[in-house]
Amino acid sequence: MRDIQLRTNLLAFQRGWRQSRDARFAEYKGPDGLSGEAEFNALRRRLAAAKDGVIHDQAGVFARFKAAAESNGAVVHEATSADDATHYILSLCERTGSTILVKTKSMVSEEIFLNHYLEARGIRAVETDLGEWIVQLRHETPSHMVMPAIHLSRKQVGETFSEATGREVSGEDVGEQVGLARTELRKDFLAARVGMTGANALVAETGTAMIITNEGNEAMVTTLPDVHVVLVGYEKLVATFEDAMTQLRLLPRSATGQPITSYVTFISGPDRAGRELHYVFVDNGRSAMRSDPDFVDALRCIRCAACASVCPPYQVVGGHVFGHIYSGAIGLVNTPFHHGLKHAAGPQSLCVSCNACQTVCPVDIPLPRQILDVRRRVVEANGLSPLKRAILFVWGRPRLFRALARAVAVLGRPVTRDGFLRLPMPARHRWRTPPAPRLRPARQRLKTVIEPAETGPLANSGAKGITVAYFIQCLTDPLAPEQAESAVKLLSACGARVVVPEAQHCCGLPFIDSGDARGAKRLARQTILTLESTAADYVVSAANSCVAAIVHDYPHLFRDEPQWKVRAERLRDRVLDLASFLVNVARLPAGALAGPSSDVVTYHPFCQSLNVLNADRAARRLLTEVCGLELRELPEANVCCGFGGSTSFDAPEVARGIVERKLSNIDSTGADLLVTDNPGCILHLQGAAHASGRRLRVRHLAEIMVTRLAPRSPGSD
Amino acid sequence: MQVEPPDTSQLIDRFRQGATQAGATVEAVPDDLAAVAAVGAMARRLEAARVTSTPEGAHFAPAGALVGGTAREVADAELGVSVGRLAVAETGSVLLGSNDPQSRMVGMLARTHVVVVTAGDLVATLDDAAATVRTLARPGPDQLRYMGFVTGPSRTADIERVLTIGVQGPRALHVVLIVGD
Repeated sequence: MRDIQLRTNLLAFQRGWRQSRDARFAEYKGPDGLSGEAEFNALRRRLAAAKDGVIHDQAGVFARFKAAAESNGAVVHEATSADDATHYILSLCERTGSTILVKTKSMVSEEIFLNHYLEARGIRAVETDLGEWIVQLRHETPSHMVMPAIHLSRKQVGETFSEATGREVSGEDVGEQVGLARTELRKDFLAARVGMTGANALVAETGTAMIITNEGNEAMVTTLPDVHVVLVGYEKLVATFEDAMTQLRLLPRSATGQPITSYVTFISGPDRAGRELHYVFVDNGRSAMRSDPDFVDALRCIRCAACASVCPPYQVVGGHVFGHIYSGAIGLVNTPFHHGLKHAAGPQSLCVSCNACQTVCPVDIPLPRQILDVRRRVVEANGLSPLKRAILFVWGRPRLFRALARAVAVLGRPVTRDGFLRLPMPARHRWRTPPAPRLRPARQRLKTVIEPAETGPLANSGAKGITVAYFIQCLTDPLAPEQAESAVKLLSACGARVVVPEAQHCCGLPFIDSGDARGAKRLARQTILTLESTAADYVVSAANSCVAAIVHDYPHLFRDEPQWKVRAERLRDRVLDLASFLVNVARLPAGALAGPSSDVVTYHPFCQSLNVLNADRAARRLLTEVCGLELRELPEANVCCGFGGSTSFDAPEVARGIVERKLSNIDSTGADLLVTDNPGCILHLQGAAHASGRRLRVRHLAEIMVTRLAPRSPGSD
Repeated sequence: MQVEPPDTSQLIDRFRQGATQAGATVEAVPDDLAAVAAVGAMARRLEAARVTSTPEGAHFAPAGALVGGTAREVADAELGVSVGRLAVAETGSVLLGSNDPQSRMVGMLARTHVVVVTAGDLVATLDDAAATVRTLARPGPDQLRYMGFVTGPSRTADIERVLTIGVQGPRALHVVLIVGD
């Protein structure tokens, strides 16, 4: 029951966040005249460069900040450890005789377990940010870096407040609940002699802390007590006010969907004689990140939490599970450094690699790739489970893989119906019906060379005279051969000569996904060799996940093997997903496959098509312009379907939660036909739709287009 | 791309838009006297039993406004009066600051905060405002060690993303903008 409440709360949160975040960037016009995503990209390029500059000269920038802050009268303390930082703050409290420390929200204080430390030594650490105060009363930790209590409903908040105050507090009236914070916290603000904040940026040029808030609690914490301590990680440093303003334009929009927060405070020193300002700088693993080329970029993070707000698995399990102290994608990446690999092992296994996080990151951190790097390290440390090892053993050996697929096809024949295996499933997996492998996989249906069509509606396309090598995909071969057949037919219909290399098998993505770098490289090398040896102008596939792996993942996979890296990059230039090939190379004209249709159609872009390949526009164009189809707009189209490769098997509850969200969005369109551009999504959606009794057809774009090649009477695809 | 520098009336419109979007109210008046009248009218509208003011704001506040009160004295005064050092059209923000903590309490603790600012101090962008912040923050006898942009009243959406105006800080922000004739 609690899980359902959590998912409901977080679904509402994510939908609201996405809408307002997008709207704020859409309506913002920068001084350079750009707006919307173009302006977002320009801003984040600028901020990423500014943060990289600090990362690579941290000593220099820190020295400038320290000199300026000290000349302003502040005390700058570099903590030698987390314990040293907490001890420093404790001694400030003891020296001033303050038994209360009032705090604004500070992730660093969570990171070093400050509250726990102080409370064990008789100091009451009072959270004054409303969300933090709520979770403190519940003896919980924040579930989101910006909205700490967003996993709770107002009813739960009302119950917490009633219990804490001994009074009846409304579970409905949020205004009344907020009013309670004003009256309850006021006493602590007035009594405290030490106030603690974090800082959103530390401007080196004048030794100024920039603190971005909404509630007015920061003013209380920094003005009422005579001692103010700023607890920060070194990554908060920026060189100039220009950089701070770039951050200010990105942070509120990304964090809360506001153009700016109510308060942006600039503190440069103790304001008056007799008052104190202290900075406590915390490393706690940041230097290790800085010297690790795979992870150094994560130090750009400005703690906006957009990576959590956009994350599909996060919505299903919440921030306490999708992270450790830091939640969301950034938490999966920095936890090994701040708290140890063992605390990242569980959370990182829940990532579906949809790449949504990086698309909204205001400093363009390559989080998806870094999460896979964490996964690789977890596997190197802990090994793979025996089941996983067995599966990958078979998967990596084409003959064994095909033999197994054939065996299941044959043995499963009695229970195969409509392409599904009708088997009793354990409860954990009952939400999806498994697909049945075919007796005739794609490689048996396809010739090794398919000559170009000479006639037909597409024969004189821009692909005429071109040779294309077709990549089937390991899963498509046994489970969805008609998708490969359709793609090949289409390519040939466009006038291309299609070769289907026999030696192909698996691009290695399942191994990348499982953290098995060695297995991934073996298959990647084999794939590169196979595709290099074709004399084709292009390599095309309808399996966009493979295209993304080859184009996007291979260079990083071979970063320590320069020769293979070069070969991967050379191959990349020739590899295209089917839709991009048909639009950009074949240049299929509008209406070329137009014809009547009785289907109600909606389109789901595969997340890598959208977030990595930029191929969704091509797919849409093929459907709406070339085929002339009217598409029902799919709400939350940019949210993953939940297949996620290994996550589908390691964390089926997560895959299920995400696919249920996708299916209910599809339901809301009234569509009876869903078109998409990746076999993995199709298998996942078909299985889940079937198990739920939905009469929804899920087809690949290629299949839709191919049925329109031959003249036909009006009907369904 | 060369963007034409906006004129004052465009800046005022943009400022008004940003401030209003953030939940503030904006009132344009021709001169100081009119500003005094506007603040007075506000105090009457609120039936303010207690009005508090910063030293600079005293010029605009009704007679008898408390200047330099303690936190407890200032707490929950119906009206607090400050003077803005500048206004930012890009975001609808005003820049306030003081090295005197008691002066800052006015804008922190009063229920309605009114900020008087001159259109002559209205700048176009956050970068323009930051240039002023940088200058003010530079070490020296006039160094301003505590200042900030204020945009609208205090707010939170921490509970179910439901927006509530008025948390620890003021629940209303009113900007009196002296635009001249």
